[in-house]
Amino acid sequence: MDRLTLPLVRRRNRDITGLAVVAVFVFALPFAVADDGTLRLFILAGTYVVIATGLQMCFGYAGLLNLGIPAFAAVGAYTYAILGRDGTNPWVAVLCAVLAAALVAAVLGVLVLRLRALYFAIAAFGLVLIADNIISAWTDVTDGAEGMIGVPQLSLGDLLLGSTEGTYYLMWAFAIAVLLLSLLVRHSAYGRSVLAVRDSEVASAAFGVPVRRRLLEMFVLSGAVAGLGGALYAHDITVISPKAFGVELLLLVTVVVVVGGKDTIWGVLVGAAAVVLLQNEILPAVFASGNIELVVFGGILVVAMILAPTGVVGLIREAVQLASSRVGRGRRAEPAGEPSRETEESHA
Amino acid sequence: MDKYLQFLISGIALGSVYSLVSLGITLAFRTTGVLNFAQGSFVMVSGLTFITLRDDMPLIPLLLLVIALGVLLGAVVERIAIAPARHLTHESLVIITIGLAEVLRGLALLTFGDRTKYTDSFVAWRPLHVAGATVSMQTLFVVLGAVVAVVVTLLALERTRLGRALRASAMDSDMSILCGVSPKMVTFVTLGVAGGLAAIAGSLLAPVTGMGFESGLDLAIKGLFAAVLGGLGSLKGALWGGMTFGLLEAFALFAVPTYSVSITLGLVVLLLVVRPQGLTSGTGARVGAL
Repeated sequence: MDRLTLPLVRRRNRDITGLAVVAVFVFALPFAVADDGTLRLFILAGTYVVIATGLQMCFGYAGLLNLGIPAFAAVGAYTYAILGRDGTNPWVAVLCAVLAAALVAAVLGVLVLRLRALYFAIAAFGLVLIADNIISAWTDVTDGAEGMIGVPQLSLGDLLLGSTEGTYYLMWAFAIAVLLLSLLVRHSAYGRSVLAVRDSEVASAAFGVPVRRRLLEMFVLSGAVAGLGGALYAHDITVISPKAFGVELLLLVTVVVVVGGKDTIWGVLVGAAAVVLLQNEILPAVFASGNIELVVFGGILVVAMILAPTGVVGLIREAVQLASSRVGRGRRAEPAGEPSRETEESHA
Repeated sequence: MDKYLQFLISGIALGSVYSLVSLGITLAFRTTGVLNFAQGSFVMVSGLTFITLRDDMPLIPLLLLVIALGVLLGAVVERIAIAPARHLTHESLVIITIGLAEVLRGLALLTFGDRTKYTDSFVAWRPLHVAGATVSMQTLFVVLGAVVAVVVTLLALERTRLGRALRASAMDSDMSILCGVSPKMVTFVTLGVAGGLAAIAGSLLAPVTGMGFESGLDLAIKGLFAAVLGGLGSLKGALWGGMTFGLLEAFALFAVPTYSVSITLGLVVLLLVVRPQGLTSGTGARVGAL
């Protein structure tokens, strides 16, 4: 472990430690908080974390604006529900859900990733309409626009996971796993090649990074994670309809990623907490009508993008850097070397 | 045969509306780099305004009022949300316009309610019968209105000082700034024009399909696909893209009504795979031509 790679390893270990702390907190929470309502909010937050991590990896690391996230979640949810209802083992159904979403992403990715980046964003957005159309029209299989009821739930041996507590642990086990995946991608040589592609396709191609393949892989990964989120959502709610996977979901997930900060997993956690609190506690307390949600979340997206493009986590990081560089200057009376490396990281 | 003719006619009508939407999107994209996902919401808001005020005002003043409000909406949105974000990346701007689209959708829901609203045609004349197909008067108005709007826009871009400034900015933003064109003014005017075009599209479309707070999303996606089909480059391409998309959709509606959305969007993606530069040859790749 030489001087060059040591900071990278240290940064990775710091993030993994942080995630472990989150995991311990999540595991311990039901022992401290017994009431059903709070746990339900955490389940919702966990769902957002899983689905939003799909977007965060793709957009944050590869720079691909995957606006088709709700469509992938829909593919996952419906694959899980349809297979489960036909008697397939629910765990196998979850696996199939992930694979199906990944397959859809792979097909679309092969077709449109060759095009300009914005064409990709438009095509991915179109996928949301297509998914809604197919689910609503293919009534024999999906039960149409009315939605499917009686989606089977996962169990561990004889232990049913359908209870609030069971679903809570299930959801957060997967949420932590997905966050860990995102973190490991971020801190690997592979992930750095993805970041390189995001920052300059030409330069990374010149260094031998297979640009198209990296983009395709991240897109497929993003679709698969969103598909997993959809399947878990179906397990939790047991009633799914195309409405649940429309633009509202895209709006909420985008707010999670943008408000938190798209570059790190901490942004997803912060964003999911903010959205769940706002949606379920603050807005209902302030406004009588639930219809205000679109205006509020849309407005948040605009304001956040203008005022804090790096999200809350980015702002905190900048503040910390500012503080530490002041302290450093006071102590050593020279521009410190340490913070400048931190700056590079935040822009990486 | 007359059945096909009927669908051709409705395709042309749809295509006229999509052409207007994609013209607004392409114009804004070429001159300011903003890919406006809220263009469909502009159309929706204008359409709902038109329907709501229909009973209170005569047609011509109402049309002028809705267009003026549309220009105002575009300009206000530009001041509030686009101007402060000019330095951001394309993707960030897309996210901002998605946020705007949702804000407008939410405001429409709060203001106009969640029902789809309908209104009468511009005039109550009887439909024409051409070679066994029926052409309603509103269809004629849609096509005529779109043609007039497009011609006026193109002429203004071609002939007026302001239009030349917009075209110069689209060709070479830095150079146009050196020649005294204010980039702030360009963005402001462009979004205003886009809002006006959307208002025309909304007023023309409202009597045909009705309008609800959810309509903006469909229109945005279809307009964006049409714009992409035209290569997101030239205004001529935008018009061709809109018309092609309308015809594709009309025939998809004819052949497999329940899956028309999927089939139309899927076909466009396939077309793009075959011709990434868009339909009109070369314009998508050519830099600077508007």
